[in-house]
Amino acid sequence: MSKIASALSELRRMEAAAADKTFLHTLHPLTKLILTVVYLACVVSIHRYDVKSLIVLGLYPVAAFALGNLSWADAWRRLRYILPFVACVGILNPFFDSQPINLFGQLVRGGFISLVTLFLKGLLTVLATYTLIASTSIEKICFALKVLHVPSVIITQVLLTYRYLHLLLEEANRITQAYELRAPNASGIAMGQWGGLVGKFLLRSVDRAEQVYNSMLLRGFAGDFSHCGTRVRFGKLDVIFFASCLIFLVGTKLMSN
Amino acid sequence: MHMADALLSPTVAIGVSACSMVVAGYCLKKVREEDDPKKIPLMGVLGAFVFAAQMINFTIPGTGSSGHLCGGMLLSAVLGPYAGFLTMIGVLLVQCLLFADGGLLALGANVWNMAFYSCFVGSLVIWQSFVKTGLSRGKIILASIIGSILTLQLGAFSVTLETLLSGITALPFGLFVLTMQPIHLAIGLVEGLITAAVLLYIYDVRPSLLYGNAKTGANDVSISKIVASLGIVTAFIGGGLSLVASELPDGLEWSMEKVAGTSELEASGSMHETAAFLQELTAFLPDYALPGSESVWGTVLSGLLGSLIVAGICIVAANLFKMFKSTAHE
Repeated sequence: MSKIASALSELRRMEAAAADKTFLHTLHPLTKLILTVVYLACVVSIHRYDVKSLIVLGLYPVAAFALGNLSWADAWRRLRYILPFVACVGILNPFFDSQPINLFGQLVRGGFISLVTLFLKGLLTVLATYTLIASTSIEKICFALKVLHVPSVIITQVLLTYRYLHLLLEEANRITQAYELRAPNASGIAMGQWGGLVGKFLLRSVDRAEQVYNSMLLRGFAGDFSHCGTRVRFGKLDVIFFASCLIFLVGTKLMSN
Repeated sequence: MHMADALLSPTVAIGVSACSMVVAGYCLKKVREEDDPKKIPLMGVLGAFVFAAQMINFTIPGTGSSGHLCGGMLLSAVLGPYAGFLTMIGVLLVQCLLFADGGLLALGANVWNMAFYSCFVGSLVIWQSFVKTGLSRGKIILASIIGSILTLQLGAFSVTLETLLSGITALPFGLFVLTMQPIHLAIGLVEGLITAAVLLYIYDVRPSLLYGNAKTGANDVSISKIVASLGIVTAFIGGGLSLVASELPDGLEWSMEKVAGTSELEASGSMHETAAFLQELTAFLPDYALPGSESVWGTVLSGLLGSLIVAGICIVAANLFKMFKSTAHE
């Protein structure tokens, strides 16, 4: 499958996951957004030799996956972007850091432990972000951003980018497929065609933006999508979930210190 | 070049995010001042365009490999630096949430590393300075290549600094920089070539689309501007990057050490002695340092003076060649 086709199918999978109706999906988007940011901050602030605390923090995504009926296979697929770069950065740690550290009663090179914690941090942060996006649509996340007073220009722009992503990815897919059929052995677009091919794509996108603007005006667009297409109430379950997760995260972080 | 959450400490993440937020605030003010309601949908659609265009592979001639577009400079050349920066925030947010390309906590760092440098250094400084007096094909090519290389170099350097400041890697600073910068030099060149190709097409077909392109006359590239730009890049590499040059032996020295046990072979004979005497007389910065000193300024001075002398020799040689050519014609 080409890169574009794979991005399109990833997009559809994420939308299908976010449309589910589990307990996690019904929570207020602001609850999930704030908890995710707090969780990420807790994970990355754990000391590089503290494997135990990271294992404990792993309970959050495990519980969220169970509550949201989320797919582990989809989550693992997302790790392919992160882990190679994390590996490049940390792979030499065992050679440069030879300090002996006690891990579960065994003396291990500090660099090796820091490499393990780096991998765990990469894993947990990706799982936490996946938990958020697989249980909350972009529209709901934008609604949460609106509640947090993020400027409407940015929110509108994110919503429009997301709205036209499908359309333009499909168009890019058609362009590359047509090119591949004419040049079956080429590994990419030949240099002579770079400008014309992407340039035409850009011009078509600009023209489309003009049509979008006219359509939006006809529908009464006045500068921003103030309602973000969704309104969710903050309920008792949100308070209970938020408070219990926060106690768990802060407690783990305090104990790790 | 997307930073993952795992590669940043909260302190560094908050610090860089604060910088990005200040720039975003300034861009919002500028976009509101422009008061162009058509720009908002254009930003959204072009954000999606950049996202889709990043997925297209471009064959790199002579290498058998392919590269792709990052799009920050291309976006700014159409939307302007301020709207381009805000659009890049949206693109990076969607990439991070939907495709796990870059972290949520690292969003501020990614905005800084990719959007700030491409929109403010690549576009506001480089592109705008070329556009100011009217565009031409040569200017578009130069601005795209110089802007993209500079943008990618600064971005890669920031990634190195942020990772090291976060205490994530045990890699020494010099080694990390030497791993990151050269690869991003190649990526920057490819990015520049693709950007130039697309902008040249736009310039031919619909020049009014290019931001700040008031005049569409085909002015020639100013030689002084090219010299100044190349001079700045040379000074940066010769005077700045030379400080982080590896102290390990180069390929030839390494091979000699393996074969002969030493990287400096002893030679005898009057010819060698005369050559060594002449070299001692002329080498006023031996081993790229001030004589009898190990100060870093010696390395900086060596880099700068070396570049100046090479430039001087090239200018003299070019003038001699020109004189010879005109005499031959007469």
